[in-house]
Amino acid sequence: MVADDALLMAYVDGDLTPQQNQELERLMDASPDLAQRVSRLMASCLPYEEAFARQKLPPVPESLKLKIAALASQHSAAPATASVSAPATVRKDSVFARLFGQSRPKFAWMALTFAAGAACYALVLQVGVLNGVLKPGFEASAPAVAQTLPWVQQAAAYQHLYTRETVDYGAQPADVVTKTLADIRDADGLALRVPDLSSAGLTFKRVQRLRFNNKALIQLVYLPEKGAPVALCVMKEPKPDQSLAQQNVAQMNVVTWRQSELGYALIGEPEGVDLNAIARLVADRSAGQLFAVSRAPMWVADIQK
Amino acid sequence: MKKRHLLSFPLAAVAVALGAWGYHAGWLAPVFSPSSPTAVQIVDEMEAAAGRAHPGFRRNHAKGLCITGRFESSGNAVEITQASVLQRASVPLIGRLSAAGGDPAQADAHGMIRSMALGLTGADGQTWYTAMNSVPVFAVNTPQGLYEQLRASMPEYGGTGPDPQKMNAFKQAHPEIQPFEVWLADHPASSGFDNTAYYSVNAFRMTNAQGQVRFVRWSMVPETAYTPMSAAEGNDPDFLAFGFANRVAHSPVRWHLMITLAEPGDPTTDATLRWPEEQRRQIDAGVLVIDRQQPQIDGACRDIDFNPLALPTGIEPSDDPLLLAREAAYAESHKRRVEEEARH
Repeated sequence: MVADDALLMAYVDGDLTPQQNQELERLMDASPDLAQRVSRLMASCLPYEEAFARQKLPPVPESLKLKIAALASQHSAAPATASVSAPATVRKDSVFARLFGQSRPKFAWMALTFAAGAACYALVLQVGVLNGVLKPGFEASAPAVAQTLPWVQQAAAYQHLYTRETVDYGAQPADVVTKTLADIRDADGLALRVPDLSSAGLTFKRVQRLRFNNKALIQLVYLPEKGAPVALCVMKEPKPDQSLAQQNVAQMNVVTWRQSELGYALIGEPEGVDLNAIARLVADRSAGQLFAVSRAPMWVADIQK
Repeated sequence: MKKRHLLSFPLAAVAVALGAWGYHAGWLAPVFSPSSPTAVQIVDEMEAAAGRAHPGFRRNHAKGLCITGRFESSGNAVEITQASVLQRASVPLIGRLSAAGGDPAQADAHGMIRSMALGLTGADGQTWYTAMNSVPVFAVNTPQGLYEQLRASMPEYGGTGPDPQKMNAFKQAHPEIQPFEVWLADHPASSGFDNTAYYSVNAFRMTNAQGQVRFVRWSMVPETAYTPMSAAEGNDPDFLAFGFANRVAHSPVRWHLMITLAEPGDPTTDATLRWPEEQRRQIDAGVLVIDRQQPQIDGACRDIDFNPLALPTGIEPSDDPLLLAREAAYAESHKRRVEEEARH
């Protein structure tokens, strides 16, 4: 298998066969560079449609309407030589979701074009060409962060692309959340609770099952009262506990810790909410649980009867 | 009977838990007797029963939280012990509340047995470590029995629970498990750490200033009324920590240290047999007050072993073979844990 860009894009879009997916994921496991290329492509899959759906656009000037009408009239008078297919709708939740994700959206060349463009955007952001233009405070070269786990690095870089509008379009449907959490429990084997962080001013927005190096990476997104979203990312890490540590990763403020063999990364913008305080809420288990999905053993139900 | 049948699966897990408790405090001398398993063998079996080794964690009761507070001794126990922590005074403590099982990521609903470990330091600097269990009796009464129990609790190949045939065979060979099973069947797991009683299980000796020796067992009896775990609580994988964190945030949690005095003829070397406590004299030795909790990722209890044989002057172990065998297993587990943490 030649891992060229076309193949990687097809992987990102979910167009490869399961066998091809497995083969490519094996290559990614063996090659951090390849994994990074893929993750960058995946990081481009933001839910732009939702983000812009509620964007209030200025009215089209009357002069422009007249000009377009004239052009259309002129075009319809000429013989048709080719038909143009309608642009494919960019899928929703494809964000990290393919990366990392389970979905297999149908391929559409327009979507590929969009994704390629978005990937270029992400790559440009990575090298900082648009520093200060697209996002205030974004620095040209990210300082190397020692001891930062690769998945935390990727999750932070991805989260850096989020704006408030990215998730402010509405809540994820409850049935989708419930199904996703059930999959996290049953398919991914993670005893994960979704902390209710409303006491810290954070509103839960959505959960995604992502993948990093062929392992489950869970992203819980919260929206504070002001400012950019905050993500709580979780991966299985069968290692000893580790206490809270604050880092700056990809221009994001990140608090990491490891607890009961789960690695946590709480990611937000540096000028945002007090991540240390929120991380302590989560680690202390002093926050309640949203969307309880784990089933109690049968004997518990029996006791209740 | 029906309830006991339904509890068969938890019992399997509890079997591990029992070992966990034994291990938790560090039982089993390297070679207790020629036929006894070594501490290495026991800890190996605990890892196997938990599915695998979980680096950096206690091999049993892996999931827990740290607690701090004080013990307000009433001084009532001075008549039976000269231990400084039981003189009339208030002494600081560090402790740990945990659920049975070797998997630190297991959902709390799967752990029927809870434990309380404490380290109380008296004015003379001596610390009394005690590791207690929410079941007043142990499943087996020898290190060999514990080893066989762990072997029977090993997950079935390709499954998550033990092989029922092996577990049944173990129970047939160890009828001493019956009091333990009956107690579990009659006492569904509580809804929290705070409304559970914790028992020393093994007998100890207490010696007073006059040199008089009495065999005792003790328990921490909660002021909070018992309620069984609800299905809703079972839906939260961390309901024990969540419940305790919220409880402590509102008010301190209190238990009474009740010391039960043995009468002649009461078994002191068999942890599977209870004493008729209602017919025995009990001393209310003071109140345990827990006012803070911390996750064990950085809590004060993280690196403490809570070796129950680290006893102050005035408290000594009985001749219970399980109790006497604790230290080596504890040391083996602690050694593995420390080495693993150093590697990471």
